[in-house]
Amino acid sequence: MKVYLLVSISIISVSTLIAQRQIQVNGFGHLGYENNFYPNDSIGQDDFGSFTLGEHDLFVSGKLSDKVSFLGEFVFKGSASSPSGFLASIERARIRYNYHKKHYLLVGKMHTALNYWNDVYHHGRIFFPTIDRPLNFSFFVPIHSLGIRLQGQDIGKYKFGYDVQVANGMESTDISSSGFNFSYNASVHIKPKFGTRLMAGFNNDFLPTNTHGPHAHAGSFHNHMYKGSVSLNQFHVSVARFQTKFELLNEFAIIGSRTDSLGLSVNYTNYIYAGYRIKEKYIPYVMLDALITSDKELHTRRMNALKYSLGFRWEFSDKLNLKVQFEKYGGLFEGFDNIPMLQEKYELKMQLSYAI
Amino acid sequence: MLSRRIVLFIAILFVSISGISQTSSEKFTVIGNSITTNPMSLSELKDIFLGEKQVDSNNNTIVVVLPTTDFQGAEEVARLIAGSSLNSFRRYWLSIVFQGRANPPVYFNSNQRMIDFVQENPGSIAILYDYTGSEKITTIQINSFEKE
Repeated sequence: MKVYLLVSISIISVSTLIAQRQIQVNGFGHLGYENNFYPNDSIGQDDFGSFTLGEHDLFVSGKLSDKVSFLGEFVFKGSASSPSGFLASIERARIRYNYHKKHYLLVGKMHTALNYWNDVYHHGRIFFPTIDRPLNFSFFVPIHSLGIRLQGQDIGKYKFGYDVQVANGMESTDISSSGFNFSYNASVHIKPKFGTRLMAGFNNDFLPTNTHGPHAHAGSFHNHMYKGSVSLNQFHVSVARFQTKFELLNEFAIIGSRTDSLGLSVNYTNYIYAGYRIKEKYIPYVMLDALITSDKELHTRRMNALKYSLGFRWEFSDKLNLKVQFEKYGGLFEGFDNIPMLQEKYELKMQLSYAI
Repeated sequence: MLSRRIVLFIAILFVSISGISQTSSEKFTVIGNSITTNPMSLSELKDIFLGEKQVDSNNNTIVVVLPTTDFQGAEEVARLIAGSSLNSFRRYWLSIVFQGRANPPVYFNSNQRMIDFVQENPGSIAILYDYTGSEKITTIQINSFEKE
């Protein structure tokens, strides 16, 4: 109810500001179709095909004064657990103060600037190069954070940028956090050429009871059985190259989770996308996404997963695109997929993404 | 003779009051209001129109004015700034505003609307295309326009 009220107030405030040309309002969203096949099914899963409504996102950005700006992102999406069948959430609500030239102070709820994907794409499916986020986003990535951040960007010849942040930990909600468990995030990047960005990020978090609030999208992959404390340290490296015919995005991460029960667990993940732009609007692409968890992992379910796909993106305009993607989950290597749910799974997906 | 002097005087007065300045090349004319980075290089101009330079040398916030899709010369402006198509350039701006890394630009579909906006808004900057109007306004020197 509070969320609906806040969104309503925001929309009314926004209408006034729009008239004064001080803000930009956009809607982002997607519609989809998904077909899943389990040819060598060992646990009785049925093939299925389904249309999906996806997420729909109201985005507001504008200046409050010469040096202060506001950004809000409000998402509506289907939810089986909600009585109405839908959930509304405030994904971002932050104020940014330009205190000196290319240096900023940000407060509020933001997407954690830990890797390129999370810093750039947020909930805007129209910007995603592939249909889904990398696998790691369902396991370890602290997607949102509510706190305070120092930011610099486009400094010097190589357009150096930094983001240093203290925020409520992953166990917190948007309303409160228990104890003094903060999440610490630091990242740096350079943009040596237009469209190219190299980035490295580090995040430290402590979860006293290994639960997760709305700041992570772990969901069914979270290890709900383990209720002890977890100390998480993750290091991410991103290489992104866009605005050229050949597009590339590589997201690598090494994640250490330490528990009193089993000690240090070291996990690895890598997502790579490569696409080639033909006549401006047609982009055939390939994607490979791997996640390897340690036998000592307790924060999430232990899983070694490999997903690879062939896809095609058709950019009708800057405001509309269609992606078609064929995926296979399965092992190329002996013992790679040790979870039956992911054995021999094929998916055919389509996604129509828009921005208005 | 006297009438020419009066016209010149009015033109200078207009520039002084509005603070508007412009730079001309073959087809592009850059106009700005109270932009202190003057002259500027083409590289600086690109930085501004790519959202990578958001304040001028006096730390005043710059308001970027961009062409809409129906602006004559919008494709050429996109090529000049980003070396890409208009679609790609517009998607780029949509993306950086969505990231929260830049303030929203202002869009207009004609040279005249851009001039009107820039006149009224200190800190704003726009690129006119194939401008043949009669406003007598001071130029911002774009140092390397011809070279690139």
